[in-house]
Amino acid sequence: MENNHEKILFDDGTHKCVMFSFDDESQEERFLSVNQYLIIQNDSAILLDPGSSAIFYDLSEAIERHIAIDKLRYIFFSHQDPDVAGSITEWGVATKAKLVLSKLWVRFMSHYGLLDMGRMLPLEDHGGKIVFGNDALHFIPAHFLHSPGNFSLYDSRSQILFSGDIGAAVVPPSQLYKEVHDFESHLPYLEGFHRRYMASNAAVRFWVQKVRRFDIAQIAPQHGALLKDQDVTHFLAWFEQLRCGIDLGTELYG
Amino acid sequence: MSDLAQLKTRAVGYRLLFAEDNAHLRGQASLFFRKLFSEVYEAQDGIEALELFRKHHPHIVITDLKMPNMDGLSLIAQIKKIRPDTKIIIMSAHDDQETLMKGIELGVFRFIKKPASVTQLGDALGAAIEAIENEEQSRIFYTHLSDVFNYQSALVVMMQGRKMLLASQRFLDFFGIDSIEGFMQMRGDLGSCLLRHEGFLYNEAHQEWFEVASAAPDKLFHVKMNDANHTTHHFIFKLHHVPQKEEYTILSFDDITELNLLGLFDGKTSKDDRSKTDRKKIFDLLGVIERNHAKVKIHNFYRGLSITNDGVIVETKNDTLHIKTNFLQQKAIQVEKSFVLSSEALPADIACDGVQKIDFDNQSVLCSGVRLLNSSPLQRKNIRLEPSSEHTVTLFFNEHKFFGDLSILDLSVDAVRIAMNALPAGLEKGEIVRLDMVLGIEKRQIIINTEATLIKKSEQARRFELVCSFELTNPATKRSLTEYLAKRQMELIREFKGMQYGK
Repeated sequence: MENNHEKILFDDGTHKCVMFSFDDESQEERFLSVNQYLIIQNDSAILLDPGSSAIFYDLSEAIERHIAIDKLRYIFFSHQDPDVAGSITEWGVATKAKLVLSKLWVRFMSHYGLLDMGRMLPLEDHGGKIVFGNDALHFIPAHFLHSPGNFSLYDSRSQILFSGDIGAAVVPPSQLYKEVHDFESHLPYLEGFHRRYMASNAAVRFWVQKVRRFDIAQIAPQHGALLKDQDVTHFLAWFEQLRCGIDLGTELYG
Repeated sequence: MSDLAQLKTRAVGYRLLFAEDNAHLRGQASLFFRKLFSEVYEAQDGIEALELFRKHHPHIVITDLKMPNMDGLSLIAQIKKIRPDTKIIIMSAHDDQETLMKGIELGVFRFIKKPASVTQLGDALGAAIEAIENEEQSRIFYTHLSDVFNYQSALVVMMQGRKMLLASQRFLDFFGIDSIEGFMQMRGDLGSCLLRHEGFLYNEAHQEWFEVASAAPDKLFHVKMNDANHTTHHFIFKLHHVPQKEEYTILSFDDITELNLLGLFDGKTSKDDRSKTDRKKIFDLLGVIERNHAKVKIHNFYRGLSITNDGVIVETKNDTLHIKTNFLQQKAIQVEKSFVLSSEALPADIACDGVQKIDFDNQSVLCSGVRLLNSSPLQRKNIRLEPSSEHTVTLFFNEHKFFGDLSILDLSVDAVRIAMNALPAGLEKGEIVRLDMVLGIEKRQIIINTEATLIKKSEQARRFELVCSFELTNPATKRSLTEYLAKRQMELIREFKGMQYGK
């Protein structure tokens, strides 16, 4: 069953990807909608960027409709921000999952209340992968986009690139949509965020070159809307050329 | 030309300087050099060559001898002062003995008589690149040798990918061979030397030793190998990545046969054997971890709440264990007055009870009491928590309510430990009781009513402790208890974190 908070992105009977949209931050004029993702493979699952404590109960109930939360084997945090990892302690106590995060941020998780560092699976800078059958989940470095210790996750079975903050769009609440249908008109909602939050074009190019090696059917960002098929190519081409962050140092420092 | 193609692959990243006053010859030879090297610098005399050398620091220099302004030998002397390891090839028509002797004195790598053939040039360049590679590998090996604990007595090997490049004398002596080539001929590869032993690293059907080790750099593994006399040795093994040189690794094997610990790793070792393991042996083992600079994990259980952080063993001396860990863990140790230490290098977790000193400024903890744990709290299947004081428990035995002073000591999703001041008559291990537990959390009450089996009964100073196991069949009740335990953990986290700011 799909509702406002849920969308099935892929399902072949043994492998399923679900997108949840539980928002916990809102502003009157602009709205940064938040997405959480669940990948189920047979009888186990990985949860991606579960968000802040405020949505913990709603999200766990929503997950339970697909799989018992004690079947969560991994919880992946693309980076350290509160809207990504704020609920790490709640998930730590409610599940037995290994908590996967860049090694840069592991020590900081105690500030969110996490005391059992034995649960963490720190990711080395070059990333890693979890193999299942002939397929794998690839943790792809996305450093400085925007966090210095940041990863995207590529699921080879569904060919979805879960891109974290990359591809995030700030869409007006009146036109909130979950899938891009017209890339050109979507661009203005991408531009501001990427220009200011991403560190530099050099960082962008490393990532674009890396992800181009994979067959990407869709890009699923943590904020905003899904990019599919041709829009994946459009997005990568646009992003690769983007001057951002310190490239605009003169403007930033006035 | 396949040799030249091979040479081109090997020449990647190397720079070449060519000094020759004959413009025609210079142009011709440079064409050839540029096919091999991506960076080739040309000079028409010694002065220009020296300038280019100072600017670009080429790895290989090919020079003529007779040149205007500055001749070849003077150029070589200058270059050797700046970078003595530069490989210099003289290409000259003059091959009189005096010139050759001077060249040797200056440390020239090769001499090629003009006119030189492509094969001669290719051979000389190939040999120069090989010499540079060997020097570079030796430099890496010896620079990083000090990273290896006890490198003078450990067996040490440097690998490039899966290829063994260099080995310490101890390694060669252990296997009774003269060189790595000898090792390959006699033993094949290292994996085939690692003997099978429970919990040790060796080649298994589904996983290969090198893959396991390279996926966990600096992790300590136990391995067993036979020496040249077929005597079995027990080692602590570690794979260390050479920084900035991705494909290079250093393997070290630290011989701990003398500690005589093999028995402790056997699955069949009785619990009794483990608890009898003397302190000296445990300290010896902790000493090995310390010298290998390996991380350990420090665990505490604040009212059942798991608190875990990395730790480092600083010293094991005079029967005192000195560790360093972070502030939160130190706070937990302060509350519990003990901790559990775990490491992949240990046959079992270690309980550290005699905490003597906690120094918050230096992040250090000193402790004297160590013992191997037969059953470690780390192996618990389910989290076991102390409930808040807002709880009651009632016990029914043979359908009679027991009127006594009861309280829950700790609780998990399938068991409870109860303290009581008296025991119902006839209650023995294996008997079925009914438990009625009311647990308060966040101004709500959770009621658990279940049948349970008494699995343990103990008495201490007129206080009795019962451990009862149960299986909640009603999914709603099970969910309530799971939720209670999750919320209680959050409550304990807040309580513990609050203590950081206390005294």
